Amino acid sequence: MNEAQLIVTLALLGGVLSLDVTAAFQVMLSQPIAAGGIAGLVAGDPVTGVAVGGALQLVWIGVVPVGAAPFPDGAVASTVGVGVAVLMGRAGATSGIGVTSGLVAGLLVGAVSQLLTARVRRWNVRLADMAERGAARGDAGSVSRAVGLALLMRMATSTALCAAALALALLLRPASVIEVRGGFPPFLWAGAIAAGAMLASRKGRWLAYCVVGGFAVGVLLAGVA
Amino acid sequence: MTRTGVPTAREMRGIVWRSHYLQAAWNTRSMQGVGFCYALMPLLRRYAGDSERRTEFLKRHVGFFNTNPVFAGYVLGAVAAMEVSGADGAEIERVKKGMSSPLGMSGDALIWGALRPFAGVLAVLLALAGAVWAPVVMLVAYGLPAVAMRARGVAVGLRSGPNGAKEVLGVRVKGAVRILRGAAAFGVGLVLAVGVRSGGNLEVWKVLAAAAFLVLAWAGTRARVPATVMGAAGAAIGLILLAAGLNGGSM
Repeated sequence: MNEAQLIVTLALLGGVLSLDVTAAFQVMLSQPIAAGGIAGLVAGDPVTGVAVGGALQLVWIGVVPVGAAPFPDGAVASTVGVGVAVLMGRAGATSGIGVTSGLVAGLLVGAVSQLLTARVRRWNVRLADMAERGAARGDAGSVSRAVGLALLMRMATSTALCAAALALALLLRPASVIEVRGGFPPFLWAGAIAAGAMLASRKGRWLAYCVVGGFAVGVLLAGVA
Repeated sequence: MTRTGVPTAREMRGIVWRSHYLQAAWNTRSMQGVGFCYALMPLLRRYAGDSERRTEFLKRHVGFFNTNPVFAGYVLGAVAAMEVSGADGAEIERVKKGMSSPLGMSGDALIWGALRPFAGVLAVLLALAGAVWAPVVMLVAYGLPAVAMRARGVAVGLRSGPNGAKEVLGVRVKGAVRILRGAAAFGVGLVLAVGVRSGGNLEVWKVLAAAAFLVLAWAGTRARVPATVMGAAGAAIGLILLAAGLNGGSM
C-alpha cells in the first residue's frame, strides 16, 4: 500500500470501529489495544499496532463512556496513532520513536474526537425529533430511519477525522527521522502513570495500594530475572 | 393478533439483536430513547390491526431513557413482558423509570468501571510479554460476558419481570467490582515496573522516578486533568528523558 491508500483504508476502518464506542455493539473492538491491533493488521504491521494500541489502552483505562460527559474515541485515536507510527517507520524512525509519535498523535486526536462526539450527540437531537414526530403518527419506520442515519453520521464524522489527522501527519512528517539512541519506551510510563492515577483516584486509597503492590512485585521479578 | 401469553422466541431474538443499537441515536435530550423504542419494535407486529395501540406503544417508548447498555436487557425484557400481557401504560412507564437508574449505577460500576479496565490491563500485560494476539484476549474477556449479559437480561426480564434485575444488583456485584478493580490496579503497577525495567539495569533513581510520576499523576487526576492530557504530558516527559539520554542503556 502506498501512503494515500494507507490513509484511506485506515480512515474507513477508523469510522467503522468508532461505531463500537457507544453506537453499536460495544464489544470493545473500539478499545485501543483491539482497534490498534486491527489497524496494525490492516497496515501490515501488527506488532506496531499492538504497541501503539497497548500504550493508548493504558490511558483509556481512565476513560469511561458513560452518561452525558464527552469522552475521547479510542477507535479513532488508535487508528490514527497506528497510522502515524507506520508512516514514521517508513521514514526510517526506530520503533521507539515511531510508537511514541503514534501515542502522542493518538492522544491529540482523542482530545479532538471528544469535541466531535459532543457535537454529533447534539445533532442527534434532530433525529430524535424526527423519531418522536413519526411515533406520534404511528410511523415505526421513522424510528428505524433515525437509528440508521445516526449510525451513518457517526461513521462519516469519524472517518473524516481520521483522514484529516493522517493527511496532516503525512504533511508534517520529517523527510528522515534522526535516530535517538535506545532507552526505556516512554509510552509505557505515560500510559501506566495515567491509568494508575485514574484507577487510584476514583474509588478510595486501596486501589493505590494495589498499584504499588503490582509495581513492587514487578520490580522484584525483574530484579531476579 | 397474538395478545396474550409471552413474547415468542423470534420476538426475543429480535429484541436482543436490536438492543445492540440501543445507543445508536444517543442524543443530549432523550439519550437512549430512540434506541429503546427501536429495540422493542419486534413486538409491533402484534398491533398490526390496531393503529391506536401502535401509536401509543411508539410514543411511550421513544421518549427519554437511559441506563447501562449491557444491563438494559433486563428493562427491555420486563417491559416487553408487560406490553404483551396488556399492562397499563402508566404502570409500564413507572417500571421503566424504576429499573433504569439502579441498573445504570450497578452496570456502570461493574462493566465500565471494573470489567473493562481489567480486560484492558490483562491484554496490555500479555502484549508486553510479547503476545501479538493480546487484543483477542481483551475481546474475549470483555466482549463475551458483555454480549451474554445483554441476551440474559432480556430472557430473565421476560421471565421474572422487574425482580429479575436483582441478580445484578447488590452485594455480589460490589464484591466483583472490588476484585476486578484491584486486579486491574495491580496490573498497572506491574506494567509500570516493566517500563522501568526495560531501560536496562534496574536503578534506584528509576524506581523513585516512577513513584514520583505516580504521585504527580494522582494529583493531576484529583485536579480533574483529562486522561488524554495526562498521557500526553507523560509521553512528553518520557521523550525528553529519551532525548537527553538520561536512561543510558538500550531497549
